Amino acid sequence: MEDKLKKLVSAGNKENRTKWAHEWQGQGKKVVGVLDNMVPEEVIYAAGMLPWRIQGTWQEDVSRAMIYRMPQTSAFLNHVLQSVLEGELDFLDGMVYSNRDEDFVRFRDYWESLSKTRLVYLIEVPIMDSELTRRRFAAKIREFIGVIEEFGKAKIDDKSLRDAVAVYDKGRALLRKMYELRKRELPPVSGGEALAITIAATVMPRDEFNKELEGLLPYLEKRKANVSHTRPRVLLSSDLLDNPAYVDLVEETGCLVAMDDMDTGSRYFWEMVDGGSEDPAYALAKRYLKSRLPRMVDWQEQAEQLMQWTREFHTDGVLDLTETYDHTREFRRPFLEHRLKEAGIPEASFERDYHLSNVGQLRTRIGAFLEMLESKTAG
Amino acid sequence: MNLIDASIEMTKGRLKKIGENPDPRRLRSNRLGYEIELKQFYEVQEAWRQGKPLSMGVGGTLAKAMGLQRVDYPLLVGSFPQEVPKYFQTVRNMGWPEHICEFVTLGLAAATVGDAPPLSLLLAEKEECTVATYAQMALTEHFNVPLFAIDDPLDYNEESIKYVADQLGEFIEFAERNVPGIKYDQDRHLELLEWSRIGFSYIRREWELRKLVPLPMTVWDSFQMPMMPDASAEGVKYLRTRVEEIEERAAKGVDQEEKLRVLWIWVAPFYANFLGLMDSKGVAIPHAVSGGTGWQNGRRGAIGDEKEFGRKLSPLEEEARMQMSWSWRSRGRMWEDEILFACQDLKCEAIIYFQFTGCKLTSHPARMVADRAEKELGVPTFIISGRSMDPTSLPAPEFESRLTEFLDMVMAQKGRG
Repeated sequence: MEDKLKKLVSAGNKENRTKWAHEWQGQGKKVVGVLDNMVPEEVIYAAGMLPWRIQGTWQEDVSRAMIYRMPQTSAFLNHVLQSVLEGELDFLDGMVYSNRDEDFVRFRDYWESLSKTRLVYLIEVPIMDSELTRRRFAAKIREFIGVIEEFGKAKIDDKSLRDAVAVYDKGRALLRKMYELRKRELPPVSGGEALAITIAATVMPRDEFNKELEGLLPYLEKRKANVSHTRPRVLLSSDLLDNPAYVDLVEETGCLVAMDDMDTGSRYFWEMVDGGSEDPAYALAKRYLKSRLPRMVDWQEQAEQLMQWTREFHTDGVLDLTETYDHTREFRRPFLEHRLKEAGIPEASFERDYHLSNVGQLRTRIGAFLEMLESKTAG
Repeated sequence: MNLIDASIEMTKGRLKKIGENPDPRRLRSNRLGYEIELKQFYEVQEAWRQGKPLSMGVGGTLAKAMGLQRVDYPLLVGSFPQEVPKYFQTVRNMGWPEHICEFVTLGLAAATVGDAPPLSLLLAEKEECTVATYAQMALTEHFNVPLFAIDDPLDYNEESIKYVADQLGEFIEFAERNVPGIKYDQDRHLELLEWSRIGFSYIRREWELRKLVPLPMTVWDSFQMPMMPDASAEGVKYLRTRVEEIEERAAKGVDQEEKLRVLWIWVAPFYANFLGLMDSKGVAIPHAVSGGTGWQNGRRGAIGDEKEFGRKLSPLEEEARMQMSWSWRSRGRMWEDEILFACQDLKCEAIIYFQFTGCKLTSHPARMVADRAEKELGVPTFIISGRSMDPTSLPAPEFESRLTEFLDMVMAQKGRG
């Protein structure tokens, strides 16, 4: 079983991550790249296509991308564009993304001009959750269904969409079960492993992933993670962090990452779709508007969610690793710091690049934060 | 420094200078524009003193119709470069990112240190300009005032306009419920929109005049596209007088040689004397793109236009249309198309693209615009990055020498060196 677990953990690695996509295409089916987690993947899956989460290259050199990109811009997208220009994403049949922020909105221009992808589609996601915005987003999802139907030459009806939702909800439930086990003093998986497993879900056919994780859960019930520290327990918060090496770095510095608040981690699967809804598009809209991304205006709910996780996962503090030039997250930071301070939750925030870099400096800063947490818990 | 009091003194000084020693090359009608500005500063000063509701983010006509006094923080700071380092420090102290659009953050910083009036209500509109939206959300926390967010769609069409108008309706209810002294008056709104409609017709007339070679106005008068300064009889009078004056100059003939026509995008390093440089070299700027080109030339978003969607829009739909017609807030292609159209329509021979630090919406497309302008129009583009109020990243002498190099090169290619 340990081998099976290792296989799942390494599914999102550079060497493995395209394997399922190529197999899928080998069967004559299409693969659609998904750039962020505001895109309702269920629609793509319902059309018999594979939604495949796009990552950027993890290498440092993005010089080709920077010919086009301006300075002080999303490092994640710089690295994705570098991958596009190096032909690493040429195999994708399509690419779908949201208006997550202005960087994402403008990214379409690059992708359309510089890639070979046949379908480039932006789905518009509102910035708040209200009856009006749900209806609007549901209409946008219906438009998206039409686009995918035409692109895939496949019919998506309510039944096929509900079936896809059921598969995805099952995956979400399984991931939540795995996360529940992280509440333990010594959890079955490290923070890095947990992130790697969540990322595996985004590059594998979801039913196959579900089968793998379902089979592993009884083993995880008994497993004890091979971690160097069980204290202090830290909640790691970030966005667009898809390289588990960052989480490993935090844990190696001297703590246990017991929970995360990341769009590539918990926030990717935490909310379920209301399966009972008469209109599956509306149900999807409702679900995706609860993404708790800093670009959504529900900052208070985002803070409350974070504080709730801090309590439930018995973490001693929150470590925020904001990607440099992620403006929405940067603007939310003082708000969040204030809320956490009011709640007596220690917090530290450091900037990071997309690829693993400045390791020494980050280690020193994180180390100082962990020392503070240790002295607080000891005192 | 109280920026409102200082702005009043500065505007009074400008008016005195125009009255005593007018520059014969500049438009006489500028005086009317400054008088309107002065009146607006007095209104803000009075509202601040009396504790009347102050807001930012709400469109000018809607704000007036709701009895709200609008404060334009970014414009306040731009006139006082000596205060800029202090406001940058405030931005850092607040924990906000500093490598973003100074127009937004420095204005907010001025408000947080008490140099600009505090707010009673905020409208954060998601215009894809995340800086403006989220800075306003951050400011809500500071002032502890109600915030209403509006979700602006990307596509400019009737459905999107209706969606935004519905949200504006909800905003009005929210504001009336939460801020004492606010009451929306639809008749007043209609009246204000009518003034705006007339005003915009003069703006479109000015667009036509900007096609003339040589351009019948100096770079100082052409660089800033005319805006509707105030939805009022005075605002309309200013725009009408301005257009008539330009027409008069064109009829008389311009005796200055025009060596090159340049389209400017988008803001500029205002600490540098780039306009003086352009003027000394005989370079005209028929248009500085700010995203409002659509309503400036009447191709999109004109108030009162019943043909655009085949029907008359409601007052709130008109507000939504105005807001949504800004091309930078939409998909990149709309921004690019608008620039290329303006370049061709106004017979521009080169583009200067100022890649404004932190403004991802306008800076990202620079290379795409340059490629398309070269390929589709045979027009060269000079791309340069920097900030508008902070000379440390791009010192004025460096900017001016690189700009000179580019202008000389294009003029030499055209045999006009």
